[in-house]
Amino acid sequence: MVDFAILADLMILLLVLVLPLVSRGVERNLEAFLFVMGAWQHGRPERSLLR
Amino acid sequence: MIRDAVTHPIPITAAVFTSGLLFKWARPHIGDALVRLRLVAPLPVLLAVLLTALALLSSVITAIIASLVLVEMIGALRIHADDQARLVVVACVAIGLGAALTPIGEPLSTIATAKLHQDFWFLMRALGPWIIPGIVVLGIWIAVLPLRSTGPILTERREAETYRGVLARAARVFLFVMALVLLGEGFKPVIDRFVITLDARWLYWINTVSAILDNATLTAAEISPLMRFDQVRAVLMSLLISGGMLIPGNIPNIIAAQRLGIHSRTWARWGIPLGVRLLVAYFILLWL
Repeated sequence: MVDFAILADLMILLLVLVLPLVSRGVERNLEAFLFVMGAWQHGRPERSLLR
Repeated sequence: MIRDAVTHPIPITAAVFTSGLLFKWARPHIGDALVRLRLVAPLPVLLAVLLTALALLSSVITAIIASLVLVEMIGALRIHADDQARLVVVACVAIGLGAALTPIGEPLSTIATAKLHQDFWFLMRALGPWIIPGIVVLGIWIAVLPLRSTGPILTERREAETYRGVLARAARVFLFVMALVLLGEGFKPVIDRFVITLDARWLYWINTVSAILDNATLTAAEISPLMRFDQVRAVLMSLLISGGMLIPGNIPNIIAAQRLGIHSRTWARWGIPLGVRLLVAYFILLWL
């Protein structure tokens, strides 16, 4: 489960870094996109296993 | 955590808002002042002094406002279109470096200071001895650039500064930094597992990826209080230098390129050779 959480973190990292480059919509609303990703990352249930 | 996410962006937001207001009020006078200065000082000396000062001042007025001032200066001095891009690239690298000296200079420095749980002057102590001479060298570089002061200029879109615009810019910075604080906290397990074990020299070259990725986001994804000092310095120096190589790497590049209509290829033509030279020079100075 911990490895799954790390994998999910890596996926989020990849999305956060790549999506602004490939999507005009994300690039234009970068702040909102990053905020949603940050909030989503904190809300994931398996995160409690990493703390 | 939520409290950190709300409180950490406040100083840089206040700096962007206050400097934005000052820029709005001073903007009509900047052009006149530059034209008068141009009459009493040779262009290379004037540019070198002004851009070095602007780069150092960007740690107080923020990289965002410094890049707006840069665009205003470039427009007022009417430098030849072919030379403008080269000048803007060097100036944006200098602004990006200078803004990193305090936590209010740019989102990268806000996030780095917050994640390392350090005081206001930490970055000045840690990076100042490396960055300040670098800015001076870039200023001298600007002075020796063969710049022509007449001819057509790039298409600057002179957008009016409004109070709503000033407020919206500050609000966007607040949201951006808040999001990066949240993301940075979330990436802790990944950093602890993959990044902390890497040698500082590897971190230095790996972070050249910041040429295409936003360097504040990478700071949120990488910096950890468990890192050794040489690792933190390697990551930040690499992010700051590489951030100037291409347009998406740093905020000043995006603002200046958009306002002056500089294309990605033109930016890369000047930004990559400059970035590679600086990366190699700093690598030698830091490790050899």
